[in-house]
Amino acid sequence: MARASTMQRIWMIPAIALAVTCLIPLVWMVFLSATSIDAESGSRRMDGSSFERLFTTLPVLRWALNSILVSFCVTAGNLLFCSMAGYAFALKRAPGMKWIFWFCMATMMVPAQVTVIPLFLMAANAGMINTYSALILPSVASAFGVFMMRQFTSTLPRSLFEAARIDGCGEWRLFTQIVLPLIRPALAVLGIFVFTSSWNNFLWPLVVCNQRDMWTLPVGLASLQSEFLTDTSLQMAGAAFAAIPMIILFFALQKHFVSGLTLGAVKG
Amino acid sequence: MKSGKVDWSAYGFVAPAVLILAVVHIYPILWLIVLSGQETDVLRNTHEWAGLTNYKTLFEDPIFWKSAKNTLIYCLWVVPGVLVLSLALAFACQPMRDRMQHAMRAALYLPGVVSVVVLGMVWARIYDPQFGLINRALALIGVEGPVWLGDTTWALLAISLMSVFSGLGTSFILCTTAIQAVPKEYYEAGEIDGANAVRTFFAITMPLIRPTLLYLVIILTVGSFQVFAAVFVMTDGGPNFATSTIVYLVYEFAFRYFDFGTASATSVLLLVALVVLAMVQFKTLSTDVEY
Repeated sequence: MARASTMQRIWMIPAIALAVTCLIPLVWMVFLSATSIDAESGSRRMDGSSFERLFTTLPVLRWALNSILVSFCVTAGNLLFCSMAGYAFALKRAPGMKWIFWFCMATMMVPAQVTVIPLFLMAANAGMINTYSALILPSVASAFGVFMMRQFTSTLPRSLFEAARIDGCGEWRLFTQIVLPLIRPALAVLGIFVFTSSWNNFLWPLVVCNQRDMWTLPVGLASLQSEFLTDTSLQMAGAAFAAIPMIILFFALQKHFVSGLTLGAVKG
Repeated sequence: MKSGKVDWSAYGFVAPAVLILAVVHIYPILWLIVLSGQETDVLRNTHEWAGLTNYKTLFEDPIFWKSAKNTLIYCLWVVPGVLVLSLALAFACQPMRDRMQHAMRAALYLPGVVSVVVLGMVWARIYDPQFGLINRALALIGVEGPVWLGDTTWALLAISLMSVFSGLGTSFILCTTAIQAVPKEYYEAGEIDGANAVRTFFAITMPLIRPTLLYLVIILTVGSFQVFAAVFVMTDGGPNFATSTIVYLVYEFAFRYFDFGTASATSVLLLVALVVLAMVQFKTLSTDVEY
């Protein structure tokens, strides 16, 4: 675009101010977690003891491990199952495949919050309350992922696969050795997207795990809110502990975060 | 592969994903509808047919209506709030240098990668009537701020405000991309015809970015109808049910009172509302734009 006019420059000021405002809560969180109120003077001073309290009084490391384990398994499942399905929907011909695809897409209309009760009863009947399987299994494939992988895979040239088949390459080998390496960029985007939403997932782990040891980070943190109501520094230390890995991940992989959004959206 | 030849391995490749989606999304919906017509005793694991009693209880419950109203008000704050702010931001950022635009994008998107639980905890501190950032800032200009989350008139607005300020990233990025995709020639033509900035915006930009806006309105509406974590962490539905929302009510019915029948009926109504809303929005907002 051409050089900015004065008018345009003036508009930039409130825009930047708004963007900075959006960051204040995160900065405030880190500030509160690293300071405490001095009993004598009543002012705030630097103090790392809140983190010490966090790690000694609460099983936050266990919660973090649970979160990591669950998010990794969910991500791995999505990458495998969605890319398999996406590949078949994009490039394979068989009767009814179109219908099966629309069936998958229809599940996108069903929000997770709506199915939480029957899913909970299913888990309860299967004796899966307070297990990793209950935390992981319902999320190992997503309609969004299938759609994204199909979109990406259909951009690959068909001739490539025909050549491989003529050379006698089996279907599974074709998928793992030719398709998977080619769709790596899409896998990265999907992986980040799934990992973030799994890491931040709240309602399902809250409902399906009532044992403290099985909680994920968000559920554990929410319990601090009522248990340690007056200990602001401790609460904020917990919040920062959960938020910082995601913030680092975002800055390291910013490009993929952004391209994931546009891949999931419509043309326009 | 010759066209027309059936590739049977296709079914094998789609089977795991299709199976999971069916078991986790479709089957529960069917069961949910059955559950909403039953009286369920979780402890004894008995289900008794109850017809429409659950729905009747729900419609006679003033808290249900309050929660439905709250959900709608929250949606009416958040969806236009996010859309207008992110559109304005996207326009203001157009003349910026790339580096600056990237910084804006990062700043706006960052709160979105953090868990709502974390955001809720932090914002609860910010809304603290005595030590919170907002009331301290208001005190500087001599205004005594409200109790925010403890005040029935302000609590829902306070939660909505948090959602707006932490949810701008996605819409901002999509709006920016859409605006940049509008061909420059259209603007040049408008300029030759003597259109001013306002006219250009409504006659050229808006119609061309409509598909993006439609997509955003739908995902934002569906998202705000499902608001739960923020309420759970910040207010527990209080004070006096001023922030109780539909999903929060589902949680309360099911996991505080173990009334799975009424909880299921509430979920069914939520699902119906979401599907109808998506269809209406799609009908009214979609137009075919080719460029």
